[in-house]
Amino acid sequence: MALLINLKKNLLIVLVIIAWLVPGNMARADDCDEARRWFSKGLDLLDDSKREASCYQKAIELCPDFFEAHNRLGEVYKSWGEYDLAIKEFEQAGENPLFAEPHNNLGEIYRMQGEYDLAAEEFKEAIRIKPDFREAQNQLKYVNKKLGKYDSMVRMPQRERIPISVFTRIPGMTLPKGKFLVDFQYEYFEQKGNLKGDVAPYLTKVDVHKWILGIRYGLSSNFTVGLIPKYFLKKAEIDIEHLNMDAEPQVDGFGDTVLLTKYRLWKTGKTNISAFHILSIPTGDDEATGKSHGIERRIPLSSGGFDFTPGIATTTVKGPFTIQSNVSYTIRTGGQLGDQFNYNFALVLPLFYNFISSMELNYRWQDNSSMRQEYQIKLGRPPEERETYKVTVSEEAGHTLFLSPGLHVFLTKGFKVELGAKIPIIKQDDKDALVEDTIFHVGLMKYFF
Amino acid sequence: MYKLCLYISFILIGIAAGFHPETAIFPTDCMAEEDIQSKIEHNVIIIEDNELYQNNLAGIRIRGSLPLTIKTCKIYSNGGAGIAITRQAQVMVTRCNVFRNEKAGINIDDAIRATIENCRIYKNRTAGIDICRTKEKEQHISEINIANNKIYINNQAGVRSMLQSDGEVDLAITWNDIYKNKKAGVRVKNNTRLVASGNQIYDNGTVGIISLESAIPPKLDIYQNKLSFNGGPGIHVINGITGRIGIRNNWIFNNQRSGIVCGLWSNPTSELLNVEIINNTIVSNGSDDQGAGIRNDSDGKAGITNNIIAYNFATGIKTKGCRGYSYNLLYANGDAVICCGDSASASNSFEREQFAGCSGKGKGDLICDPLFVDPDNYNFCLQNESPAIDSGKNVRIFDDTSFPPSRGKNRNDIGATGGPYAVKRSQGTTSASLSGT
Repeated sequence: MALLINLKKNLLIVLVIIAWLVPGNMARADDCDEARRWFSKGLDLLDDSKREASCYQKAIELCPDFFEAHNRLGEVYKSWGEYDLAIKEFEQAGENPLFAEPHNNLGEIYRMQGEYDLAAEEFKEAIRIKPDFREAQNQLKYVNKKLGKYDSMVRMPQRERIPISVFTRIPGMTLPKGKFLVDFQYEYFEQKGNLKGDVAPYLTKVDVHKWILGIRYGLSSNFTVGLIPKYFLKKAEIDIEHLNMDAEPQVDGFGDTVLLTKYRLWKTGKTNISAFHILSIPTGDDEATGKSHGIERRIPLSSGGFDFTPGIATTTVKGPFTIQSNVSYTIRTGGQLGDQFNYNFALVLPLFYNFISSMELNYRWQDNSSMRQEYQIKLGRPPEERETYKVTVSEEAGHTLFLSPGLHVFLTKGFKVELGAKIPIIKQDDKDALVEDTIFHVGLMKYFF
Repeated sequence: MYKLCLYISFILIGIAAGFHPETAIFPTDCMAEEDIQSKIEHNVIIIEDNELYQNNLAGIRIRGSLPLTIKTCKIYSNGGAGIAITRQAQVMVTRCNVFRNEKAGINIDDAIRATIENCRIYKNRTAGIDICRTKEKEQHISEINIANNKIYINNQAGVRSMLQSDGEVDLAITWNDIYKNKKAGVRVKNNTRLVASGNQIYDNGTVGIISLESAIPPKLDIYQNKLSFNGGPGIHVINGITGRIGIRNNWIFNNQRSGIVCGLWSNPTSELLNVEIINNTIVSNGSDDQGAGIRNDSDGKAGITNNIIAYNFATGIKTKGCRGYSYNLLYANGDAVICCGDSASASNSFEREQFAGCSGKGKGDLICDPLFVDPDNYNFCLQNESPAIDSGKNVRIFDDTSFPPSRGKNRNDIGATGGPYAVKRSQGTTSASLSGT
């Protein structure tokens, strides 16, 4: 009963907070659906008529934050020469920070009124929001000429969103202030190694499917933060010949969550240098256990401790090429995996249309590791006897070098698809080390700027 | 419902069989929920005030040569075209709304004569009006007149004539508003004789008017149009030849690529191109470091005469071999300004900026401020003091009819307000009508 009372109390508090947060004029979802129908009716007319305007007015009445309706209503007013009314509508539409058209429209009104300075600012804002906004570029060129600025560039500086290579990801992540980048990646690879233990020496193989969601945000134009949770599905293949056992224990769940901070230290027109830090938080289950055919095996989803990775990243544009690199050192606290030194180098080259290719070299040195491994094997008939084997897998320090070709395709509306493979060309000398085979990568990225 | 379909089937059969008009009815794929109302007047079948929607195929399909008028109908959300015109039809479509059909608004496959006027044609899945004669059809010339329509937000071109090489169409597009279509405003190919006049073609996703690569180049008469705010060039002639008039007296401004482009690099058929570009006013075209006033990439001939070319993004005129232009007025193209009005003092580098690196103007070319009435509001008519007045090529065929602000001499003014096809000042651009919205 006490629990029920508590629940009701909490619910009431939540409702009060929601009621306080929701402004009085916020439209209901139904009203906004109805508003969309009015907006569509207006677009059916599209003749700058009073009737068309009344459709948008009705839509705005129902859903006051309907930015497209404000913008289109402003365009109708503009066509009537009612510039004050139009400016008001465009300003309201421009409250959506991702909507470039109202700024272009405002710029056009200022141009018509001979206010070239104001017009130029609005066109620049439109281009900042939507760098390939050709109408705004066209208009900005005209007003710049009117301002006597004949040689001024109307394109935005090198867009940072283009050169992000597949595996050398850190350099491309400095976002403009207030802008988001969301990416979703899938990776698949196999890890193989010889395992020596109490049972018998045998080859172990683990299939790893990895899903990574990355959300990055520009706190300022130089400071970017990111939150990157990872989800794993790991399946081990265990074949112990002398026991005639063939098992495939499997686990899935969240792994480590990464917190990225990156600060741009230095920037010229074509070169960026940034410092970054990656904090890996052990949010996954370090003791995850998979069961199959009488074998239980520990397959950890997490590294078991906090990892700290400071580093430096650079990006340089030279002609059509973009060169990226980063160097970092990972200090591990989990007590099993050894520290790591990473150096990544990427060359990015536009191919044609929206296709961009990349070629990367990814070097990794890992210190001595000592991983605890544990099996339980059920033997005999019921009541089963369980035998537990505890193995400590030791890996000697060693070097691995990957060669990683990649292909990126920019789609409309800020989406990018990326494909890549990370192929180990030099592996650690220690044959027992559990090293990845080729890593296959598919990614979808969305830029909100 | 069954009555309607029965009725329509009779019409179909009647027309196809060539029965007397009083008994003939007309063919449709109609599954409309209301009966089609029709009458016969002066041997013309009239379909009036009908609403045809949600049919599996076309809203209305017209076959055979009996004259037919479709008047004040709403034709929408059909599975095929709104109106499909085939088999030597003679059709007039007037004051209809044709929208949201799964194919073109009006599809003309084979008509002797089709007139489409005062209609709204919008939000159709392919082109607004699609003309697609195929070679299997009987040989005759189609006459298609498209006048005073509003054609907008169609998923492909506003008007598209994509003939096979042995089709033949006389296509007149006059006084239409063609805007916000996803691709070109007007797109023609092969044996089309295009007369486009008095249209406002703006805000289309790609080019305003395009004449495509063709085995038989289209004949082009494009004059007195306003082409603005299109996502590509204002006019792009990949292949085409001048008809009776050529490309004349158009207002071409704020398109996101060049004002007029001829040819396409690496296009083998562009040698056949032969167009005259005369008395156009071409202002502020281009973006993204690209865009000339007029550009000829072809090995064909493009005569560029008596045009005003100002404020364009990258350059004024760009032609292969730096030839083919004379008596044009250029100003503030690319990144250089000549503001003194005295062309003699223009330095060589400024001159090169206007002519894409070519040294030397063409004969009679001027580099000076054209003195537009109000360019900020897209009014590119000339002030009385404009140096473009009476400065065109001094040949009788270019003489103008002395509309104001001409000083009354016969020697033509440079730009859209000069020459025998001069646009009256009252027809000039205004901010309200041409701001692209």
